Amino acid sequence: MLACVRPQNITFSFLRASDILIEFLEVAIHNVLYVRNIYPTSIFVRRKKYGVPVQMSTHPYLNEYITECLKTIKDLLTKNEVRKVTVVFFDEAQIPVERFIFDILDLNRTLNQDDPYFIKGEEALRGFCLKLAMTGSNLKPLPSKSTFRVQLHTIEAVSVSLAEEPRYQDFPWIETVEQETEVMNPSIVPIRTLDTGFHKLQVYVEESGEK
Amino acid sequence: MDVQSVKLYLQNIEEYVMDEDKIVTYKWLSKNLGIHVNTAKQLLYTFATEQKINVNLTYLVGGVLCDGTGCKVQIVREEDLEKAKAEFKALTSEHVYSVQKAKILPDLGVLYAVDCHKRDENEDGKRLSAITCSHSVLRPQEEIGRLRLKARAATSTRDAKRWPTGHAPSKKTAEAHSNSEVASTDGSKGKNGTKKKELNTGIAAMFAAQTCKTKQGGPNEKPKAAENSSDKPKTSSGITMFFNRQTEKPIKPSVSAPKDSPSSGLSPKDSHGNEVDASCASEKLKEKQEGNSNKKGKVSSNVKNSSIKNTEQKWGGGKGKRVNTDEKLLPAKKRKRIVVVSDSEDSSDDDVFGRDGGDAPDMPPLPEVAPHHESDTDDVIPPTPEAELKRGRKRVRKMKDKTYVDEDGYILTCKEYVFESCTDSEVEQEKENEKKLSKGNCEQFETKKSESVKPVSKEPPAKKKASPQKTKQATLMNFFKKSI
Repeated sequence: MLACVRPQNITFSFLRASDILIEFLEVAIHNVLYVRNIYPTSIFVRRKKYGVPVQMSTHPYLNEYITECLKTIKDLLTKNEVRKVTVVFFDEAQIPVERFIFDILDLNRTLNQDDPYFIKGEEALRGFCLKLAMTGSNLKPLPSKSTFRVQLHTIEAVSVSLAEEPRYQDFPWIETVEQETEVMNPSIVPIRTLDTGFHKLQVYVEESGEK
Repeated sequence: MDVQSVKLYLQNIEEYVMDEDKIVTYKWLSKNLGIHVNTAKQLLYTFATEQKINVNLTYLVGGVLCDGTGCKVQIVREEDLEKAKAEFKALTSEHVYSVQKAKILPDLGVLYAVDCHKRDENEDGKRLSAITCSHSVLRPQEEIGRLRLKARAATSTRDAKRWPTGHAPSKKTAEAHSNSEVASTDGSKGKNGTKKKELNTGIAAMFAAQTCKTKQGGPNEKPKAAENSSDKPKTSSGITMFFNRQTEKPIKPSVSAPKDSPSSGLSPKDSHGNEVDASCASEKLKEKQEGNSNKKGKVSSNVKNSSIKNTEQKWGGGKGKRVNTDEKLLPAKKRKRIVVVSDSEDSSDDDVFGRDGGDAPDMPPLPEVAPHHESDTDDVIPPTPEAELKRGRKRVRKMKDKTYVDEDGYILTCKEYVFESCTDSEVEQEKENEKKLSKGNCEQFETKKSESVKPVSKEPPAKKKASPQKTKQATLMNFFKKSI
C-alpha cells in the first residue's frame, strides 16, 4: 500500500494533506515496529518510500490492523479532530513502557505554494525515517513478550461518534483508561519535528524509566 | 593537509556523530566539508580509532570472490568485517563507509538515505575530484552574459540576412511614395536604382510592408505609382510568397524594384518585372491601390502598367500562384506561409473591396482598365492549371487565385485548390511568361527565375521565361544580385 505521493495540482485541498499524513503514518508505524524488534525481522521486507528504503511488514493480520486504524484516523484527520496518534508498547503486565507519539500540531488546509511538488515535504519525511532508524540505538530494548497498540487522542465528541457510527463497528475503538496511556517515569527522547508546507508534526518517544 | 585543518575536521565529525546523532558516511562528509573522498575516508578512520568504543563503523569491502563467481562490493558492519573479507580472493578495496553512534544498525538501508541527495542537481561533483586541469576554470557570470549576448547577436544577424526586417519598411514606404510621384518611365530606372538599394532591406521592408500596407493605402491613385506600391505589396507579399515558394523571388526583386526585372531592361524586363510586380502587388490588396498607382508608373509601358494594375486589382488575392510555387518549394513552411498569406490576402481582399467601393471615384483608371483585362487574365489564368495537370508528374495541391468578373462587374478573386504538377508548373510558367510578355500581361507571377535569374540583370526576359520553380535560395540570390 505504499504509494508514492505526488501532488498533481497546485490547489491542494485539506483532504489531500491528510492523505499525505496518513501515508507517512503508515510508513512510520511499520518502521517503528521494525526498529523496536517487536516482531521477528523476517516478516519485514524492504520497500521504497520517499526515495529511500523502508521496512514494511508483510504479515496480513498486522497489516490489516494498521490499515484499519489508519482508515479511521484519516476520517478524523479530514475534520481535523485528531490531536495525537500514539503507538504504545506494553509489557507483559499491560503496563505501557514506551510510547511513540506523533503529535499533530497543525494541519493546514491549503497547500503551501512554495512547495507544490512536495519536494521539501518528502525530504522532511525522509529525514524522519532516517532518524527513526537511529533512535533504536538510543532506546532500551523492549522487554520480551511485549505488545503494542495504536491510540488516538481526540475530542470527546469524536469518541462518542466512533462508538456509535455504524461504519466503525467493524473495527471498534475503545476508550482507554489512563493506566493504559501514561508511561511511568517517562523520559522523553525527541526524534524529530516535521514541518512540511501543510502539516506540522512532532515525533518523540516517551520511555519508561523502569523498563 | 595541515594539522590545523585535520583537527577542525575531526571536531566537525565529532559534532555530527555525537551531538547530532547522525550517520556520517564518507560521501556525505566529503560533500559537506568540501574535501576529497579519500581524505574523508581517512578522517573517518582517524576519528573512529580515536573514539573506538563510542562509535560504530561500517566498512565497504570489494574484490574478487574466492569461489570465482565474480566480484562483489559490499557494505558490512564492523562485526561482520572479517567474515566478509574472508570471502574475497583478492581484496581491491576496504575502507570505512560510515561512522555512527548507534551500536546496532538493524537495517543498512538507512545508509542509502544518508547519501541520497535528491536536490543536488546543481552540485558540482567534479569539483572535488583528484584530476584537475588548470585550464578548466569556471567562467565568471559576466563573461557568460557577454557570450550569450554575442550568440544572440550572431543568430539575429544570421536571421536578418535572410529576412531582413525593421528599417526596410520605412525606406520602402518612402520610396514607394516617391516612386508614385515620379512618372512612370523615368522613374523605372531610377526607381530600379532605388529599389536596388532597397534590395537588401527590401525583404525586411516586405515584412514591414505587410504591416505598413494598410498605412500605405493612401497614394494609390496613380497608375504609375501602382508599380511602386505594387512593389511594396509585392515585396511584402513577395516575401511571404518567398517564404512559401521560391518562385516568388523574381516577383520580389521586381517588387522592391530590386535586382531582377526592374534593374535590367525596360521593355522586356519591365514587362516581365511588371508582371512580377503585378503579381506581387496583387498579393497585397491593401497596397494594391497604392501599388498599382506606384508601380505601374514604374513599369515601362503604360499598357503594362495598366495591365499590372488590372492584374493587381484582379488578383487581389494574387498570392495564389505564389502560394503554389512556394508550396512546392517549401512544403513544410507552406502551411505557415499560406496562413499568413491567406490572412493578408483576405485582409487585402477586404481592403480591396472596401477600397474599391470607397475609392471608386478617386481611381477611375483602375476600374476602367480592369474590365478590359479581365478577359485577358481570365483567359490566361485557366490554361495554367490545365496545362500543368496534363503531365501530372508530381501533383501538388496548390491554392491558386482565380480572378474573374462577376455579373456586377466586380473583380473577384477566389482561392481554389488546384492540383498541378510541380515540375510542370515551372514549364507552364515559362509559357505563361511568354504569354504575358506577348500580351503584355503580367499575370504569371510565379517566379520562374530561379537559377536563370541569377545571372541577373542581363537577361531578365529569358530568365523569366525559363525560370523554373526556383528554390528559395535561388530567388534570394537573384534578389541580392539584382540589387545594384
